[in-house]
Amino acid sequence: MKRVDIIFGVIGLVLSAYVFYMLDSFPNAPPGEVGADFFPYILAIGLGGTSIVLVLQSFFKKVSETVEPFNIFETGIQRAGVSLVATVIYCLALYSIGFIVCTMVYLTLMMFLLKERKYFQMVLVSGAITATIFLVFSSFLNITLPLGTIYGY
Amino acid sequence: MDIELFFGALLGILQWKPLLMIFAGVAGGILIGSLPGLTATMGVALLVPFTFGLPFNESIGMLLGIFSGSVYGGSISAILINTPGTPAAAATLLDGYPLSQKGEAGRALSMSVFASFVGGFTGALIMTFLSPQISQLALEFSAAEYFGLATFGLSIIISVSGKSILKGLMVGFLGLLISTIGMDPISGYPRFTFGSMNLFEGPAFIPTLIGLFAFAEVFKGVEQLTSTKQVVSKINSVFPSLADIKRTWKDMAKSSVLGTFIGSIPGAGSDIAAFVGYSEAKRRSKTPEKFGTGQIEGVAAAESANNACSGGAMIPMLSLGVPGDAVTAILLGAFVIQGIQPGPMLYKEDLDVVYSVFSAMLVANIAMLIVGFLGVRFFARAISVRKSILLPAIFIMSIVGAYSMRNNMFDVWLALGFGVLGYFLQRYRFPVSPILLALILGPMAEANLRRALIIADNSMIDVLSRPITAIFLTLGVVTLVMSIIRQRRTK
Repeated sequence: MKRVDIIFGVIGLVLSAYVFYMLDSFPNAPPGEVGADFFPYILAIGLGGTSIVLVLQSFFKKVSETVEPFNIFETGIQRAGVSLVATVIYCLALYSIGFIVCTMVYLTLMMFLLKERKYFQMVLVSGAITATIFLVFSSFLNITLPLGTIYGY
Repeated sequence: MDIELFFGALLGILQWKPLLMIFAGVAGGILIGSLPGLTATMGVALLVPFTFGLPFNESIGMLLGIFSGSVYGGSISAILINTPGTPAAAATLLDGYPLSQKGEAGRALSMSVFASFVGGFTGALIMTFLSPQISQLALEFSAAEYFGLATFGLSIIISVSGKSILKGLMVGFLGLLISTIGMDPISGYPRFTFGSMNLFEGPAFIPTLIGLFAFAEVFKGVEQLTSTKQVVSKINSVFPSLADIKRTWKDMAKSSVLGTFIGSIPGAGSDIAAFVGYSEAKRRSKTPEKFGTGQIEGVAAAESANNACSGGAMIPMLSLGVPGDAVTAILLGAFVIQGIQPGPMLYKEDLDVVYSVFSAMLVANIAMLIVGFLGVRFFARAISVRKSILLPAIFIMSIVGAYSMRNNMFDVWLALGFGVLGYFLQRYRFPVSPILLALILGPMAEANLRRALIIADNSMIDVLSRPITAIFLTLGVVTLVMSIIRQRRTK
């Protein structure tokens, strides 16, 4: 936990320093008025200050709680990583391949990743979820979901 | 009040056609509200064109049905999948989701329906009897008072911070910084937008919420697939138990009044009301440290406050012609289309219309109670679906929810980015709720403080010493100090 807090503290400090750097390019407010940089300035001080305290606390305070380390070789974390990658690919393919095909494939693969092995049920449930969402959003709520540019839509 | 005229209007609403429209509206509203990404505003806006040709009672019944239904509907996804269907349900997830994780989704949902009814009905009653008086009080609110209200809401950051005040504050500052992204509310200067038009209005609220809560939770669920047990929801009854009602009635009553008043202040929406109600319930609780771990009072307070807000928001709309929030702005349009001009003269010239609106609001809340109770068993079962099916379905719902706000893939990427942030914050015991609070209240605090300073010739003392502002700020400081003392005692 100590190391994690130091990492988060340093990230907070870097972010706060970056905000200060950005604030330099903000236009000056009219004399005597509060400008666009006023709030971010105070907040960056707050973020920087709490980050420094977090880092210092990590050095001087006794560690009272532990968390599982982030080990990328651990199966659960790998599974979460694969699901993130799959979601990114799904989002990238959504416009070109279209909502219906993309969603059915994505759902089936995700179910497989999450150890579902009843294949017929997987396909059936994927189809049902896709159809329900598509009907509710497209037909009832008039929200256009991508139909796929490769089919000419 | 002309009681005879009021009962005449009520009878008009209780005819089968207006009743049917109200029930249809409530059911549709609950569906829209429960889908992350679809808000009450969107629901009412979508249905307005369908009500053009309908007689007034049917038209207003349907619109108010959607309005009431969607505010409650937002709590369903908040409780079941940790994603508020509407911003109004953001505070509900703080205790609703932990309850659902304990296998008590049915209990949380039935309390949510009941509290929504209590809040909505109280709001409608207050609207019926005290509209002119409340709208006068609401007019006292200027920028300084809005700043005070927002600061009071922000003061609960400490109390939603969990075990570490420092981490809560750090995340709170981060959230407030995120809330400054976009065009400066006063000068229009684009701040931290990196030239992206998509960020000019700031990070879209719903996709951000979906990311921080839904995506983060699903990533966690995927990671811990084999190490955590499947949640099985126990449903003994679709009604809240007498013990729960006894435990929460004071919170519901207080939140209902608070919610109605906050709703009547133009610009202060139901999301703010829910947090203020939640904060008040936590402040008066004997076990405030348990809030956030699945306290039924948290669900009751948040839900009664946000539903009471609906009635409150109608007050300035009807009596002054000034909409209290985005939904009432659309309703104002629907009224004008029907040939009715809300405003002070409405109470003199078309009192029957005013009473029809009051009656429709009261009946819509009763309809919401009935439809809500009928749905509890069905909704609660959703949580018992196998994780291997539920998690991918939530992924898709979240993506579609983020996309549907503006038909924009940028919002989906934004949600995914916040999902990763939320996952790491949760993993390393940083509370996520302060970001939520900061995103709702930060812009309100900043814009109004700066407006108030301009009005007061940059005299901070003039801004802070206005009576209502001073009361809110004092309450905020008391809440902050009490939370710190309690946290220290708990340690």
